[in-house]
Amino acid sequence: MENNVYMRSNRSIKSITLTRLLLLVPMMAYGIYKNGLYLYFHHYIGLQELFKPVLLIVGSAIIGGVINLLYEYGVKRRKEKISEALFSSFHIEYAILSACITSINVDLFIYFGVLTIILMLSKFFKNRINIMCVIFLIIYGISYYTHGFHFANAYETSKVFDLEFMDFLIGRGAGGIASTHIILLVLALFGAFITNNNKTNITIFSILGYVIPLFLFCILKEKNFTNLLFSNNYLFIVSFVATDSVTSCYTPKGMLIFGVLIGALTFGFTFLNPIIAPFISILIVSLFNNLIDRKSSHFANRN
Amino acid sequence: MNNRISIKEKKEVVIDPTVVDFLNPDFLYIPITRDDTIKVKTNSEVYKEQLIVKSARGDVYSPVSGKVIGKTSSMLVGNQKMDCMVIENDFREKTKKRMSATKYIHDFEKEEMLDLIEKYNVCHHPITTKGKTLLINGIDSDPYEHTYSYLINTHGAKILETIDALCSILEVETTILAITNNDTRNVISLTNNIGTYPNITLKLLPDIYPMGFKDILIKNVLSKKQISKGFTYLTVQDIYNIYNVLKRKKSMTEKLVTISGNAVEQPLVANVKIGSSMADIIKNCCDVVNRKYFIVVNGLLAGRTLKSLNSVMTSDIRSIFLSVKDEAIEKKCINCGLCNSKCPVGLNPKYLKEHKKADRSKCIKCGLCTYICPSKINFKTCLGGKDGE
Repeated sequence: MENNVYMRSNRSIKSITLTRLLLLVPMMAYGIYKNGLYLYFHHYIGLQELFKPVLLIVGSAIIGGVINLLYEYGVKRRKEKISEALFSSFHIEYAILSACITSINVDLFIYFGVLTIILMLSKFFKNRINIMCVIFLIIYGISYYTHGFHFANAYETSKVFDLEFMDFLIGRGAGGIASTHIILLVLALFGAFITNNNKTNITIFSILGYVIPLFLFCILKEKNFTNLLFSNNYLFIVSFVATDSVTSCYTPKGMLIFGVLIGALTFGFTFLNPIIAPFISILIVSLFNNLIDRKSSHFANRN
Repeated sequence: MNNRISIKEKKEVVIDPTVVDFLNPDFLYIPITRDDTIKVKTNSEVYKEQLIVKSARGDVYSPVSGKVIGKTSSMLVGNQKMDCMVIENDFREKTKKRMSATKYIHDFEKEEMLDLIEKYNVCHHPITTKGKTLLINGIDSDPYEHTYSYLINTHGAKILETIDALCSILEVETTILAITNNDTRNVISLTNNIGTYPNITLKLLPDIYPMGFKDILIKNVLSKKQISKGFTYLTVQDIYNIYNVLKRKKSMTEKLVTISGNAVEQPLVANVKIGSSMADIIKNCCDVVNRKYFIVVNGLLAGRTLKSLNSVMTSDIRSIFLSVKDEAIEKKCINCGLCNSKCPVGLNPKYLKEHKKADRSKCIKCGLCTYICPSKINFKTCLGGKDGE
């Protein structure tokens, strides 16, 4: 008997990307306010820099989309609808998430240059590594050696803050363009969870894998736990970057191992460089995602 | 992750509430094999419900009265060409003797009942005499199928009476009739009538796919203790057939079948003669709006594709779909894990696709992994295992 497919769900790469990006809109809006409007109206930046956060986000989306179109129509020569070609891969999401986690102080030329090159190259390499991490690490490296890299915007640089728990919740902490508002992040995560568009298990286990050793460390060394937990985008990164569908594990056991490894490695790397620690951890663990899934499936199959 | 799947597209299909009868085909085709003993001669007259073929698969009775005009090998049975006895219908529905109720169905002895069921070959599932639980499936296997739902709606009282009789004849402790909770018509009618039958428990289950599959239903309804003590699983179709045998000594000559799909103008449930040609059924029951259809039987998600409408309607067919194939381009797996998390039997379809030697015997071939995949990967081609319901 021939088996054919006559019925499909309406779930597709396009629907997953659009849902995830839609859930991130409040965070992006807050990022535009915090790093653009607020600074402009309080005379920290000029009119030119007012549009920088919008430019970073919209420009990234355009680059992601154009690369997808060029690849589908130019390289693959597929005759599909524009909407399907535009969302033929997660590149638009990768580009926008890269903008969300990058610093407002980033050089636009460096940012867009790296983003375009990496996104284009990723189309031709079958190795499944987390593109967002690669983009961030290269931008970080170049920025570090050219003009230095820090997350604080003009307002945050001008003052010395002693932020408390609530301040972090409402996004006052320094971080990426649209990755600091914890309440909005939790709401976005919840939305992604109920619409089945996120590997929430990875987020939970990454947080647990990081929080438990961090908590013990803070007790022993009498450090500020809240500061260490909320700084450097960690929660956003494990919510939306680590859970990248293509480069993360998909089996229940695999997701557990994947998350815990990211958390533990991040804690270890924090002592070397807290900004790039989560990215390096995700990059390393994502290299073994297939192996972790294969071993856990093989084990489950045997039992 | 939410493990339940409710097929949303289902709501868009409005099915005709009345059953369409197609009980007068010109010709009927009775599949025969070399080992079968044919009880009638060519050009001889046959009565309705007359024994015409004695077979190891079960005795076959004529669905109509008419004339045996010979054999043909042009008809397909499950995509394979098979010799078929052709009966020309005389449209008189003549029977040898008018069957009336022989006795009250509760009065049958266990052995007597089982012999009759075996003789008429009307039950597609084995009846365990030592089982302590009787589970009746009233849930359609496919989201677009309405066969069982319409059967309960049309013959609800008879089905309840037969379940009650089986319950006392087989001396089972628990009898459960499972239907979906959004099958409003049947929920209301069964709730109103079930008071007369205190032994029967009506179990309302969520309308999620693949609840109508045998293994999934058993897992959701019966406790481990009930399973270990032994149980009998039957469908409402089996129950209705048993009713006809016990009450009227009537074999299974006609059955309800859902006709649907996106190439059909108005989906419907039809009452057809077993042995009819599918082409006749489609021609007489519905309008086809798209000629580029494929023929799928027993469900769009889990069913099988037929090569041609020149196929014989057999007793195991619950639905016929004329559907246009999904032409979505298959993309590279995005590792979303939906196939794994949604699999009702806990398999990992992606792993099974990549590892040809992995054990796939647990697979019930429900097609959920293929349905849900955002990369449009067809897992059906690589998953084997036993058949579902």
